[in-house]
Amino acid sequence: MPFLAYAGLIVTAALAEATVGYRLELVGGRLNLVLLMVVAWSLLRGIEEGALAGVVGGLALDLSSGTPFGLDTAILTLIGAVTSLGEHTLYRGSVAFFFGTAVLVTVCYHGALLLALQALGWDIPSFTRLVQVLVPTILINAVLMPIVFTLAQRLLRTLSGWRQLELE
Amino acid sequence: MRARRPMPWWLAALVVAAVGILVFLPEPAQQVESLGSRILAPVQFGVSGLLGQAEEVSGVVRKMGDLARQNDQFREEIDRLQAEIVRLRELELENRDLRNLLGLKQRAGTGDLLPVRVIARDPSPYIQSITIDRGTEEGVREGMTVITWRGVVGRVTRADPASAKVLLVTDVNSSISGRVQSSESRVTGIIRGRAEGGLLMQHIPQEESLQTGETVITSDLGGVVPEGLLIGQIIQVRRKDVDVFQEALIEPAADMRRLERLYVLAGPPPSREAAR
Repeated sequence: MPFLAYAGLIVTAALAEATVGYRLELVGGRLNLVLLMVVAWSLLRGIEEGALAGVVGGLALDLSSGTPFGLDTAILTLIGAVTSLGEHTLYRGSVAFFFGTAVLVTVCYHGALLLALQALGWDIPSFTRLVQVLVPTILINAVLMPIVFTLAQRLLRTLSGWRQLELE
Repeated sequence: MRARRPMPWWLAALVVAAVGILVFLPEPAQQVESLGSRILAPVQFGVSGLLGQAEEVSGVVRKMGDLARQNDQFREEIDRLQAEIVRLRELELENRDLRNLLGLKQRAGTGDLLPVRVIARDPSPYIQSITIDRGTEEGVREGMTVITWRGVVGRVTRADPASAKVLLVTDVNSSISGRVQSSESRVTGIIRGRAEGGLLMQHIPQEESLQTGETVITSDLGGVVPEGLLIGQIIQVRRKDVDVFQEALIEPAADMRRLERLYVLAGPPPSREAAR
């Protein structure tokens, strides 16, 4: 039940990224809301649901992207699965941890996307352009990561509470 | 049944006296009348004035009601007319676009124009592509050119039944053949998108003379885009003596950030590789 609700939110976020995301550019950077939501769920629920969230988010992004279909799904599934490792080894709920996670996953996501595109024969932007996009995007994601995580955590608690009531 | 009472004697005497005075003594009668009038006139004046004012007030109140109703009607009329003005402005813009498209269609000899709408943009900041609301069910095929009346927007790279992906000409993966439209030079080159924005015309021989402000249109050399569609204007010419070719930066004619009223040019579907 909590995952299905969260999956719906991820799809909504992907739609928002495709329809209004480009209007919300901040100094060249764009918010990767779907990426942050996948990472947050992965940290909260572990490898299986993290990977599943990655599949849902990736598919939703692939549907509105001009890149080869499945690219975002593959990358986000991988990120959703791998990020959950931090839950057991690093997670202490500190702001520094969220900041570090946001930086790492943003670099990994964008790096993997560009490398995969290049491997598939696509031309990729210059390094200068990459830096122009990546640096502000990292900052935006780092600021929003704790917020997204907190909201995901509250949603999980709320939905789990309902489930417990249903069971009682 | 009550008995009828006879008229009192004093009343009869008064009536007889009054008639007598009026008939035999007209002057005192006139004086009495005059006195009565003097006393009564101001009262009559006041009362008639008050009645007149009351009538005026009631008239004003009635008019106010009428005016309020009229005001409401006028407001409704203004709202309706304003909506009509907005609709007519939109129609005017559409008419202008269609006239421009007709001219463009006649100049370029293009096929059918299928109006489409942008429903999404690529979430990735590295890829400049859009999703349009028509797909293979409406005859959209991969490789078809998408335009506005201002100029070329891009090419269809993926066509699904109900939607299609369009790679914008400003994407680094887009390349089309272009021609400089000037009286001196009809030079052709390859026009590619730039990650930093705008377009870059490459492979222009050094000996060709290019000027900023010159118009660039599509060329049929590549065989994938109809000839004669507006691409943009040269804003900078880059020439180095050591290079074999010179380059030109082009400002696209179509505003890629505000794409509306797009049209797909129906034509023979080129190969998938050619669409890239």
